Amino acid sequence: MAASLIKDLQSAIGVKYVLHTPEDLLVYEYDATIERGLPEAVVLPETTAEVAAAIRVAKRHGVPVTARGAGTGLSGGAIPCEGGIVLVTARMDRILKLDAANRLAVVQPGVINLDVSRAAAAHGLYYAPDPSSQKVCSIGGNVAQNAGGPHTLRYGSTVNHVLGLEIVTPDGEVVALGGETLGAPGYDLTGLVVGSEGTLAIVTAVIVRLLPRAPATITLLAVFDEVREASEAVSAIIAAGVLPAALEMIDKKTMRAVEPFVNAGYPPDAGAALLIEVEGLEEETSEEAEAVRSTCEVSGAREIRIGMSPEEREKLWAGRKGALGALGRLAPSYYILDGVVPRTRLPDVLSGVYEACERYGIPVANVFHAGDGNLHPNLMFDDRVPGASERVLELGEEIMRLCVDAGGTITGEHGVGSEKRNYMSWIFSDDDLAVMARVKSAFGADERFNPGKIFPTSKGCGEVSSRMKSAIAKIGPGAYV
Amino acid sequence: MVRQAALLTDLRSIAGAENLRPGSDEFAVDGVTPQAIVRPATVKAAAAVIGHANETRLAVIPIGGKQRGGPGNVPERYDIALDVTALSGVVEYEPDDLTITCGAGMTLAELRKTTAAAGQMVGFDPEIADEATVGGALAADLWGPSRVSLGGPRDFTIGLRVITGDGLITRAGGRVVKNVAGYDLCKLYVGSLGTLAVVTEATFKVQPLPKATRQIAFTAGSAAAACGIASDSLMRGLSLRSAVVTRAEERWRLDIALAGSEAAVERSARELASLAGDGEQETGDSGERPNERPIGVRIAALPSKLPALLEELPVGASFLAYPTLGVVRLRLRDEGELPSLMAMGAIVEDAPPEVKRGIDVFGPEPPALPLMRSIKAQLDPNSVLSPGRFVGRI
Repeated sequence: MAASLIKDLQSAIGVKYVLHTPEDLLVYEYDATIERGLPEAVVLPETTAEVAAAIRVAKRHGVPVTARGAGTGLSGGAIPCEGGIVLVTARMDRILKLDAANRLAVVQPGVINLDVSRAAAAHGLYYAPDPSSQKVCSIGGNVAQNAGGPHTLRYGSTVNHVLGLEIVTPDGEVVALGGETLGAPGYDLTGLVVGSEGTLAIVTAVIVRLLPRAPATITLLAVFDEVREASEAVSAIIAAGVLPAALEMIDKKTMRAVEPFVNAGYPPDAGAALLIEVEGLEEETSEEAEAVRSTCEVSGAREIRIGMSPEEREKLWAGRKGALGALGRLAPSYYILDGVVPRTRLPDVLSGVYEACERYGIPVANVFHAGDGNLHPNLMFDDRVPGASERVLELGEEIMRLCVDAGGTITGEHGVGSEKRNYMSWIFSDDDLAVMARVKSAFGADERFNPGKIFPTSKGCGEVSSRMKSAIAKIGPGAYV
Repeated sequence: MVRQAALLTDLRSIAGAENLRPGSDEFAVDGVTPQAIVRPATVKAAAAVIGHANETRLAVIPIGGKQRGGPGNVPERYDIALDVTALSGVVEYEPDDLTITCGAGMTLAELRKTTAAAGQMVGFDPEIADEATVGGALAADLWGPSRVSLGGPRDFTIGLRVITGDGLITRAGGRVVKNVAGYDLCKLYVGSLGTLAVVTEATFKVQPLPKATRQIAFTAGSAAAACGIASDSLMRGLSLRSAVVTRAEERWRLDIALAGSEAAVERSARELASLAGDGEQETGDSGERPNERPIGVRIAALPSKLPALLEELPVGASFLAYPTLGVVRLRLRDEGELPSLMAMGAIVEDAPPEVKRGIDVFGPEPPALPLMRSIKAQLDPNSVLSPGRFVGRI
């Protein structure tokens, strides 16, 4: 490692905020996934100017830069596959502007997702994208991955709520994209950079749209004997002309795991539950709740609970929100998948998932965004057992195939990262990928920002091979889905 | 003419004689007439036409419903009109998936009819002309006052099939509502005015049609009062589909469209009436006939700054203002007021060629123009597609 790189970074952003000792670097070699990669240096800039300065140093030394938010990513997005510099946005944590009259906020990338809604709450506003990690994940990370969440069904993903960005290009130039007002002329580079996984630019400020809180919200929990009944009810609700704010499914394994911790009152013998939220004016919300209730009944729900007050609703959500933490207690290791299918294919694909897991003898718990057709099978195993990790990865790949064969995609909200880059050719032709690569080179970003991500490659990420395969994340309180 | 004859011969062998015509004013863009009009029957044929243009360095402009010869700068060159209307029809529509895939040549009327039959809709603003095509509406990023509730084309377009400037047929996005695999190139293509790629097929999110709709109008004493009612109704979560503010002499008028369940629309109408206070409830239409004026401009402002901006406009100005979006669309009789409006950040949305020729309709260059130019150079290396029409004469 070049001592001069460290020295130059130190003079760019201060000695205190450049980490380079092995013990300091170790903390930044992982996120919430299976990948590992050790950086040569970690920088923690506080301002846009410092970010630009660090990137210019990186350019001069010819080392790559990988941006990192809160490290909760589920596709290896923040892992420095080829070493270089990890640029941590944690100190860029200020809400620069909250303009309630115009329903927008300008925030630095290190701001925690939920803190935006907290700050806006006094004005009756909130920031809609709500990944399950929203108490700890950062807006910058959300922008990089185009994060979703349970309420994506009605309100869309991160990209639908970002009006503009301030970015630093691979050349270290600061550029404003989009803006606070609508319809800025030119190509929608804001929309392009959102979801580009830190491969095109480093985001240093985000203009987000805020929404007024709905006057009324009703949450329903519908319990079914069979998973198939529950997944068929999902389409039946949509067919009834209701577009819920959220429509989540929790399967038997998940309910059983969660029950001891949250006392949600899930019946131990139930096959699946749907958590459905409707929002709007009181009149409309109660009509929709009634439509959802009767649809679920027709679809075979054996029990339906309705939460009207915030406390009641919170209780119904508790099982969903605590799901992954609880699942973590069932096995030493787990692997979370993220695939999407057209929602009418949900019943068949879900059966296929259970069948495949059965065949592999690997336990699976499903807790996911059913309304979007966005599956999150959680595969549970013990990575200390020789060969177990390989089998889990193999099964994961088979499940991804099921999604793609059903007309779906390989990721709905977690991103491609390094984990799924070799699946990209399942859904995109060589020409499709070539066009994406051309866009990347238009930013001058070739392999300088977050190398090894998104695009298929024969190369591994970081210290791959045996180490990567055995490094599937340990279940812990830091994991969300 | 020799050149034209040679071009027609080439195109005849590529796209078939039955799909080819010599250029005519019907397909003129900003007064520039193409040499040839091709209406390819397949995406492959369309790609071959573009590929040929790329090799021979000719300029192609994709043409849909010819609804808006309006947006964009005067083309630098224009040899081939690529009529996409034969690339039409529904490719796939499964209502319960809440997605539809259709050809770029489909008109918005057909799209509305198809989805309405299943009790659904795509979020294109109801104010966009029925004859507009899907491809044209996407290229021009057409949206109207309903953007506040329905979003814009960038929000509900989830997949595109396009042909790049060097003739590659490629896909962006997919057919599922949630998808973060790779760069979302749909965002680049929507609103690119046919300068990066030609859209041949699009997949949209759909949503249920509202069970009830209603139009109401109020008068108000000031722009601030009219805009305030709209903004309050939004904050209260009323069933607002769109809000438009206009002015007739000294009186301001607010037109609200409501959409939702019967009961929600009923309650929203009631609350709006009380928000409007002594604002008189209007009947009949606003009497605005914007299209009598040949120049259309758009100014975007923060919603909170919109009332002041509206008050500054001359009393006789013809405009539609969208208070919740912070946007005003003005119609002008002549270019006299253009310089002062463009100094305020106005974009010219449509105008006769003689007006366009002297200006850049998009106003000052955006800070990201160098990036935009390099994207153009990557996707359309020989400037085949709609050259000169976009921001910074891209």
